[in-house]
Amino acid sequence: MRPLSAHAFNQRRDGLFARLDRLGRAEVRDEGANKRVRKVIADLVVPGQVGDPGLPDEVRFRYQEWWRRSGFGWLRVRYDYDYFDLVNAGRRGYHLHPLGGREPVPHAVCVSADGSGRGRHFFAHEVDLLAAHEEFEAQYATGRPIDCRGLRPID
Amino acid sequence: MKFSKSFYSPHEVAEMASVHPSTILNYIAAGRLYAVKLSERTYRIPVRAVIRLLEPERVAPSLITVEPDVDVETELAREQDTEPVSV
Repeated sequence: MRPLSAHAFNQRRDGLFARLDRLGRAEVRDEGANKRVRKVIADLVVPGQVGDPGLPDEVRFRYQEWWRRSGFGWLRVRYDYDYFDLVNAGRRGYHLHPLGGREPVPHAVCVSADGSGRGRHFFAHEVDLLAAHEEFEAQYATGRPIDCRGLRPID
Repeated sequence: MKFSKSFYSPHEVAEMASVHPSTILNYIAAGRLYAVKLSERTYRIPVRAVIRLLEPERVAPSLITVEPDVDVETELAREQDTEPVSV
């Protein structure tokens, strides 16, 4: 992912906020803009307490990104994009962080309703947050449990 | 109005709003109503978007917080070798 200027960074953050706000009451935090490392945390539990008397929580979207300041702008150095199916106890995610070594490795995580995939890492390319969110949102809207078939384990 | 589902079809929302389904589809096409596109002809509208359309005063606002002076560098160094926790 290319580095972002401060303006582009804020636009992207606000775009994410607007996107999440369509699904539920989102909480987005942007920390460290004046420092060398910056972090964006987005949390959304849906449908949340809406409806009458209130619908139970079904899924949670939890996104975290770390960015480092450089001469080219803000560089994304780590991310954890996670989607939790609270009804079926499934999980789907895209991460970028080291796996034992020093270099960060982009990978996917996936836990299906029967618990398979737990503790495993799967091959994946680097993804953008909004692309990951689109995938997770569509998964939620289908109402189907998370399915890890087709993913290739790294370890 | 009671909302008992997380997602609604355009037809269901049209019934709730007492309008023709094409009105809802036009709203979606114009970006006035948010819907998740499942296929070329299938949309699902999140309950929050339905409430925002029908009873906007009931929608709790989202929250964005900007704290530019927080030090997250130490935390990043600490977390480099850890897996994110599950819920």
